[in-house]
Amino acid sequence: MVEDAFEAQVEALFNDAPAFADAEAFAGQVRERVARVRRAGRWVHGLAWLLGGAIAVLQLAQPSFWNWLGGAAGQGAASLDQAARASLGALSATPSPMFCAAVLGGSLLIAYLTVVLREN
Amino acid sequence: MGAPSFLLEASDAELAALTATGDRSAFDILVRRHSGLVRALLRRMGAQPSLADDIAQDAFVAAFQSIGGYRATGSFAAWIKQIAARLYVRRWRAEARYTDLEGAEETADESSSDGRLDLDAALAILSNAERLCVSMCSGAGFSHSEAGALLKMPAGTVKSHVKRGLDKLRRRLEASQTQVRSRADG
Repeated sequence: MVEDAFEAQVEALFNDAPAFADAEAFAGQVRERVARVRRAGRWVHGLAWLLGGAIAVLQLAQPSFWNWLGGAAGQGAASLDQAARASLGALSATPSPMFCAAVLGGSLLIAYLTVVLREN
Repeated sequence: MGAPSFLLEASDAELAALTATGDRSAFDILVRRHSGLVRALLRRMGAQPSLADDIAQDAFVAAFQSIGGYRATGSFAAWIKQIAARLYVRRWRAEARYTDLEGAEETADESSSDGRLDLDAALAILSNAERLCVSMCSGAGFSHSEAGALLKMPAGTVKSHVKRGLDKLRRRLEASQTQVRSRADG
């Protein structure tokens, strides 16, 4: 049909893209925006790791956990716990859960950023 | 920074697959190949040049983030054009310009003198609704129902706008060809 042929002609005209003088600059702007989006995504992932690590350590630092561990493994586990706590004596009697969370979470974040920087 | 030659010769589907693995050089080539098409489509839909370029950049960023959703069964050009068209309609509706849709901004029908259809000039003689519907259906490849869903109008209304728009474009082309024949005979 004539109408179909004309519609096809119009579609072909739409697919005939003009050349833009600033095409290179446009591509550069897209590149920058993509890079910004990727960086923002990495920070979100890093914070998620930190938060997850902190929560994990807080859970592990609960006294009930150590009580359970000592009870389950018997005297040997209790001795191990005492030895571990004694070796941390320089840091005061018992490392606080927040301290442990900060150490583990910070370690995870540093490891993550190291990978990110190496990739870049 | 030049891209490897094998990337320059790669198909859009191959470049999209590489982009999905994090290859930004591959995506850069896709941008260079199709940015003209996307920017032109948005202008033809009625966007001012600065807005068209802003939305075009948004479209490519969105495409990069969702490159895993691209299915090579369709062309990358069609996919990115539809992303851009959706973004433009969303932005345009959010800026409450939808009320201008039925308002006609038809300019004087000055046919071209070379017997061919200058699409950009020809679209200027259409109303906002006709230009938008013709661009979305003939330019971006949406069906009437898909365009209607995006524009929040019945598919039948979209079809009417497309038909009227194409009729105007056809008359413009015929007038231009008549002018050429008259000059040739004279």
